[in-house]
Amino acid sequence: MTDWTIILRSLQARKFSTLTTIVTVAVAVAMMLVLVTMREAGKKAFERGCGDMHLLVSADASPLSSVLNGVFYANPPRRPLPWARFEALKTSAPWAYAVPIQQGDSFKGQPVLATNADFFLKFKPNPNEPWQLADGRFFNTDFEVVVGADAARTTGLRVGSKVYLTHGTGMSREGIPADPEPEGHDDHADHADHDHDHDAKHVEGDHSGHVHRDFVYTVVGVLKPTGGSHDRALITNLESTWIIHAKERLEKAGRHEKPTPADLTDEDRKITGVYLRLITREGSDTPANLPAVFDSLRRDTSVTVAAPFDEIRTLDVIVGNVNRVFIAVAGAVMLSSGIAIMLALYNSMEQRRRQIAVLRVLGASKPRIFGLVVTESAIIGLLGAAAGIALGFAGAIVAAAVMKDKLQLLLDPSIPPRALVAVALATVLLAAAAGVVPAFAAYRTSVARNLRPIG
Amino acid sequence: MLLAAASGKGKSTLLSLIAGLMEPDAGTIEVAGRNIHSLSGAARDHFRGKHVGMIFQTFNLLQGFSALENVMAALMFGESSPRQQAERAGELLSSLGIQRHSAKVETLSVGQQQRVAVARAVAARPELVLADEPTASLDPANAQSAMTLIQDACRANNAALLCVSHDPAMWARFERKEQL
Repeated sequence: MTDWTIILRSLQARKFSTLTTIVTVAVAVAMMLVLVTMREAGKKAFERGCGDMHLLVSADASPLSSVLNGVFYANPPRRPLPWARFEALKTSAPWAYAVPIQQGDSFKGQPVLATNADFFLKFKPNPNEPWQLADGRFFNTDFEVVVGADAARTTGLRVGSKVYLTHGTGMSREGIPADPEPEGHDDHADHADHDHDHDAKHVEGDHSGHVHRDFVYTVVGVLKPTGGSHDRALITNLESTWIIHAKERLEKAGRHEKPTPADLTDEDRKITGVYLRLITREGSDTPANLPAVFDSLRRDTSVTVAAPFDEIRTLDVIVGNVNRVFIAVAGAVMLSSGIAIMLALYNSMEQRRRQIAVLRVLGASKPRIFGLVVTESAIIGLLGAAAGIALGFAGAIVAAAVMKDKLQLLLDPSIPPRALVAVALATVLLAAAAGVVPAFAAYRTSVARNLRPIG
Repeated sequence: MLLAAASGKGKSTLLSLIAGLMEPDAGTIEVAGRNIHSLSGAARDHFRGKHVGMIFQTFNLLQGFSALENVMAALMFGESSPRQQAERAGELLSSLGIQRHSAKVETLSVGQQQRVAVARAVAARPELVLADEPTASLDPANAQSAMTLIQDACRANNAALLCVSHDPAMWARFERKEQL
């Protein structure tokens, strides 16, 4: 017979009350963990997506939207940059790389990024971590596509798959993927609607696009996961995208032949952004000339220059305020769960006064009785924290799936160990504190009065 | 020793004073050669657990605990290890005719519950056992056998017995009687 026996018997004697209190604590802990996890994961996901670039140039309205669109595929950029602007830009500073990108196409809701070979050779999706292939190779000619890890998992594409790409996001006005047909493999090209934002005559029924079957892409590679936004993209070369646009231009002019690279004009050769990185000293990621180059580029008002990491920090400040509100709400829920523990134990004191009196007669000191109740309260907190952590893991996975579905943001749903320890410890301490009031009631229990015969 | 008094004369209060559960307004009470009220807090609780056993009219067993655990509870606030507690409690219960040591006390008959209460009172080998109307709720035949059990247990464990009772049938069983 030990103190633990007494505590366990007490918890068993009030099974329903104990269980409901544990569930209350678990929900509060899970809420707190999911919020903390999503905040951390969101921050990391944004940081990862920027890779090792220093600057992003586009024609978007603001630096933040430039980063959200150009790196995180929030929306297809509407304003293109002429190729000549890129040519001028790439010689304007001592760049380690200047990688042109063009966005606006999609496949089954997954964004398509058109770029050149430098995207894979020079731009790193995570600092010091180059691209790695899970299967196949990078593209080396037109109408070849490399699929990000998450896009491959979502669409089922693999090396050898044939696909039609879609202009625009491929979503109907109701937000339903416009492509109703399953993708084919091998010799059958996948069907996708041709959703053309700027070409309303292609709209069929409720869908904002139609299937465009003139150009078949072949999947030549599948990337390993990077944890960033590009994992859900399909990556192809710029020329293929320009050829598709050239076909539309020619059709409008009454010509129906398939264009070749020779048919491309400056009207076709457009991009939506440029990833830029300055040459840096070994061991340093921040070049001394970055502010000067940044200011120099900003003088051209026809482009928007963004320092992605600064924009992410700005976003973090904006979102951080909302997060603080959420965390405050979760904190209030945790406090409520502490009050629930206190009430459950305090109410049980009425039924336990006789037991406490008997224990006192048998030699239990007042501080020991106090300790028994506080420990019991802390155990409820510990069990609630354990259940909450399990619930939090499940909740984080669900929240990550929802974030991916609604915001196209890839989040790592694993809960940081630091958050686990902090939340569990805080819960146990809160529960122990909640046990002080009932413990004090137990401490003050009158032995003589509570040993009298009942009735 | 038997202490007799009519209801409301303070029998239970006196027992609480002797056990150190209440503070006297004046005077001193010595238990096992020690003024129990000179001890304070945990020391007094420890002293009571070691030197004083108590038996109640309604037994006051710990509900939800087994017979063995109820007896072990009298030892857990002393120096005994859980193993020593279990050995001593098991011996006592067996000697008092309780075979279902692991049965929850609420599942035992009234007579068995009384035996568990007696075993718990003498478990720590106290010098003094205080019995507060231990037979008040029993019929005359069972009251006699219950008192026999209590006296035998105290005798076997070398404990003095101070029994409060207003039942005249118990008078003859005690060598020393006092009236409040």
